[in-house]
Amino acid sequence: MNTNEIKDTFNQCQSKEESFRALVKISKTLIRLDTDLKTNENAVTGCESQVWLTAEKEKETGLWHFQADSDAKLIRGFLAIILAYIEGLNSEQIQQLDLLTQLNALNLESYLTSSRNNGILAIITRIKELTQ
Amino acid sequence: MMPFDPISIRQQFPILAQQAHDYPLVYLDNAATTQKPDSVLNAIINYYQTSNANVHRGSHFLSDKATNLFEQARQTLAEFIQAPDNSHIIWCKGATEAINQVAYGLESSLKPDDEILISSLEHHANLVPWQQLAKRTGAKLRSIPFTSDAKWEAEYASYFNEKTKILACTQISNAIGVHLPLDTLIQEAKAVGALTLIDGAQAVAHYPVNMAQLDCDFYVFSGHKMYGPTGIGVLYGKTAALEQLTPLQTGGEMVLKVSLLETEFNQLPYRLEAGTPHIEGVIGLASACEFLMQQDRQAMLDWEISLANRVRRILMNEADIKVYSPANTTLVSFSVNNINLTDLNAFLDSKGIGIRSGSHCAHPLMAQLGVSGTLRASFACYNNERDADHFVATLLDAIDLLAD
Repeated sequence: MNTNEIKDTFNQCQSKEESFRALVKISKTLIRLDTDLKTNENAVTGCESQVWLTAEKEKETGLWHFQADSDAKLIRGFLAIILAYIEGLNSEQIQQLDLLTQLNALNLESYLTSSRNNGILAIITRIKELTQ
Repeated sequence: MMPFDPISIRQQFPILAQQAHDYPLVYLDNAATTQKPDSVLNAIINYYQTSNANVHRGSHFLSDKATNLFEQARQTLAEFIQAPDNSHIIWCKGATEAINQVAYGLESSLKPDDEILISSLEHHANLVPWQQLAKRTGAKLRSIPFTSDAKWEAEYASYFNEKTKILACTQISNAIGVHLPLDTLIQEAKAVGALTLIDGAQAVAHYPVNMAQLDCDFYVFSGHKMYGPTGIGVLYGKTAALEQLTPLQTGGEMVLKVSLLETEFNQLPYRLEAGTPHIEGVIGLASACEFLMQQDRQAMLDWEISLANRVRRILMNEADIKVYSPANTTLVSFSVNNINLTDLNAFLDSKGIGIRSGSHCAHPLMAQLGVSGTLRASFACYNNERDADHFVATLLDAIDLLAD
């Protein structure tokens, strides 16, 4: 799904339950990480669920490519959305992107207030650190 | 005593009459904290509207009024747990602070190689203070293991010996609802001359407790888990046991005479209550005790257990669900094969249902059960069959949705 399709999907959700179902659906589009990449080094700490994130920069173009995974479907749904927003951008574009505002615009703020539990904020922070 | 009526009880908790994410709110996280009845809220408001002043020190109209309410509250608490008199009731922030007071207060009486005994079911609040005390004193912390098939090792008596100085254990496990065999454990502790502390945090909202009968040295609980406010709890102690404690905090209120270099401490209970107390909390907690003492406690408990059993019966028949709590307790703790707890919790929340997922501040127990956490639905007097049934139906929907 591209970001426009994501916006369409989530803007149609009338309730938290519908958003949840949409997150589960989009979670299935996330390409799962190979087990050997699920290392401590790639783990994002500060999440109740396990989350892994890798970031690789193309030498010639300076564009970033990401892979991510989690044991929780809800988080995989968020990762699928976040990657749709940042995949193939350069460092400057990623640093300037306000991911929280983008997620709030998808009516997902009720998940973000419990960020201590699901660690979305930790994931966003990690992305910014990796791509500095 | 009022006959127990779940409908009129629920009406005393207006917070429950709201929508959560467009669904009727179902609150099943009562082992974490209970909601407060109108009577408790009104007692706190009334205190501030009619009687607010600092206690014990002023000699004026409002100060006398506040002090009377405050000390009457201590009397109410003594009656609630059937303590011999008011001097056994020490106010504290909650069970955690009470346990810390005892652990800190006994430090000077422990030697290297003394033993502190807990159970493997303890909440971190009744583990970490003892672990840290053991580190500071060189004493040894031991844990009586609870076996995974919901039974105690028959030979737990073997954990007691002449080195055992303290037995600290919970009355009911917060994570899985198991009751400990307190009478036997306290008896074993007494036989070797150990002090006993019982963590009653999960018990007092459901079970009448009787200090004379239980015969432990210390008993601790939090107000907010028994329909009272947060930030207030009780440390009960026998006189000799309380006298042994070095105060965790010093300052005003707990002193008789102070010079630059010396202080003469006040008598019990004040010796262990430094600073201006949480007066509104004390008033609110006493009101919560009155709320409970007015009820038919047995009928109330039967109702709560019937709801937990209603849920448990269905979950026990689901192939993918493993239930960790025994029957006839007030909570159901379980996990679901191959489904992430956070996902389940988030779906339940999206349908207005509040339960707890995670380790329940009991990492050693989770390790022993071989899980990273469980889901826990815990019941209180105001829950009803609709809550139980909506929870079960939604959980089964969630499992369908989340199964790969």
